[in-house]
Amino acid sequence: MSTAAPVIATRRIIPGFGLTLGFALAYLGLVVLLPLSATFIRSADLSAAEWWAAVSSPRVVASYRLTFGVSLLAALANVVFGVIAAWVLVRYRFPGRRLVDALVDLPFALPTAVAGIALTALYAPNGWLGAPLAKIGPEGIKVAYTALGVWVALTFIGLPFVIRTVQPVLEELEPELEEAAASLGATRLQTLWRVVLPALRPSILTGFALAFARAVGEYGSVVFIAGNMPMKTEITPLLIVTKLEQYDYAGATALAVAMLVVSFALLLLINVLQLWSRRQGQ
Amino acid sequence: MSIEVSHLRKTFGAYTALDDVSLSVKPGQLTALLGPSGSGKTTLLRIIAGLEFADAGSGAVRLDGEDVSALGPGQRGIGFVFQHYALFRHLTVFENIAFGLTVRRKRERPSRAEIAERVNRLLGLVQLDGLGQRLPTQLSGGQRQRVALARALAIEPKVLLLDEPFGALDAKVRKELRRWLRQFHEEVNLTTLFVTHDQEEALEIADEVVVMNNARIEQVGPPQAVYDHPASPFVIEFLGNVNQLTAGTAKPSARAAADAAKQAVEGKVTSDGDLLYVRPHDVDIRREPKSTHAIPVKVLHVFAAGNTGRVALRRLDTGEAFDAELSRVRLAELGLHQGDSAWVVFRHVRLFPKGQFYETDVAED
Repeated sequence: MSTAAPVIATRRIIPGFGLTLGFALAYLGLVVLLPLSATFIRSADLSAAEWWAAVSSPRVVASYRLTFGVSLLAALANVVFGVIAAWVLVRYRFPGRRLVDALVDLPFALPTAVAGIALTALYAPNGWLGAPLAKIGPEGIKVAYTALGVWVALTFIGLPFVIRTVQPVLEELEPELEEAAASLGATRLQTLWRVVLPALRPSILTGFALAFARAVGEYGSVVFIAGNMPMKTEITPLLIVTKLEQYDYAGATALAVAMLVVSFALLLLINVLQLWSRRQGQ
Repeated sequence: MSIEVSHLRKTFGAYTALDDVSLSVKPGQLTALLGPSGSGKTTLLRIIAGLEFADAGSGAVRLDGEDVSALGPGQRGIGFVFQHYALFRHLTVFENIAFGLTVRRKRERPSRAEIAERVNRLLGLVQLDGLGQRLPTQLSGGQRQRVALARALAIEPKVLLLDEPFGALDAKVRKELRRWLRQFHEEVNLTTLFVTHDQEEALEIADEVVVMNNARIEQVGPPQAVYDHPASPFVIEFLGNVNQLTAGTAKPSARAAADAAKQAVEGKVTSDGDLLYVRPHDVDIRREPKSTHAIPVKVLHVFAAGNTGRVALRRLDTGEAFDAELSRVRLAELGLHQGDSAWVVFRHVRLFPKGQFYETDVAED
């Protein structure tokens, strides 16, 4: 008689855990981690001092500031606009609602270069919007070839994320919650602020994270409208492309690694925030 | 505080939810709005609460004599409890209950200490002492519904409105909670109106039952009155089990039963196709035909499991099948078995001339 070994593996009702996890990890490894690790390895061609010099030159640091700072502002703008747009699309029935709903995804489908060219034409000093804007105030508001232009482009490409993450949650939100608040004497604004928004918070954070991540990595739509002036309107992805064009592969990957690390840290931070927010909401 | 509703009409497109409904609820009473789904009971409750508005120009809602038809739900002084609790998930139990107080304007808002004191008193009242810091998801269904009740009570409403308050709970909790609500009502004595589709619930705890069907009120009265003296076939069919038999296709003994029914419904002449109703517990089974009203029957099945015995029978004269209910002791005395012949006498019957009241099917949700 053999002694009965303690049963460690519990039986799962839903089969295929091992298989699906294995597949997911293999896929993630192949599609995401392998190229990323290649970046790390390539940038290791540089010595530590060279690496540091490459990622910390003033021109590069200025580009970080622009990339991350403006991406953050663009994602924030999309949060405000996205929540309002999702609200309109979910709560009201109006002619053309489906059309508006379909328009939301357009920035996803459009090649980013097309977006960049269109925005530049629009906001250039002689463009439809650029010309009237230039007449406002003593200095005139300049959009194209400034950080403001970068913000416009990044807001454009990040637009669908918040809408698409908030929309389904808002649809699922029971109208009784708002009715309960109203019956307890809350004003519409109080109901929105204290009942609806807290319920949407996790999805807003998700949308924010997606919009932010997308903005940080954006290249095509920005390079046209930014004007790419060193120290002023140069984004980090542009610097990477510039280095590649000069056959400075190691330098380019060094920058890529720096960007990756910062992006990863920020996304991790947002994830932690989300976890916290979800705990609050349950 | 009384609730008075006069000539309300509510339509959703082509669908009529309320058709000229008038109702008066006496102060301090626990009143049940009872009806099948789609009968308009929830719509009526929501209009009283101000969560829905009646069709323009179709009557008014008065609370304590004051017309509140144009006021929003927050200004009516009502407390509303939803079927699925509608608790704010991101707030603790304490914060949920305090919500109605904390949203008040600064001048009317009680101090922090007063709010805390009131919330704690309410927690005690709904027997949830010490659970104030929990989140709603950490509570059972019955506990959540009591939080919802405490939240509605915190604003000191003059009227309490409950929409299927026990509908989402399992049978056992449901029974406990409805007894508790009755007791609770005795304590606070607040005018309370609750919606239910469960006749047992309405008959058990309400002072007054309002039976609704097809956008109209069928009957209003104390539970015993509506049960014993139903005003229409709908009411008798909706409240408790009942056998429906045809009165007219009579052989002599069935004719006798119909004659007895005539006494119950004065002035109505029995004719073919009239509807005869007999409650199962009003069917007296005998081994011998001792009465002239006795009807010969055959025993189809005997159900002896449960706290009462139930016997499925078939009338030998008309061939109709029906049920009888009797005590287990009586069932044992009779010693009935499947296939036995016996006699029955209807102790109490109600007769409704065909087509006069009866218009709809009873649907349960």
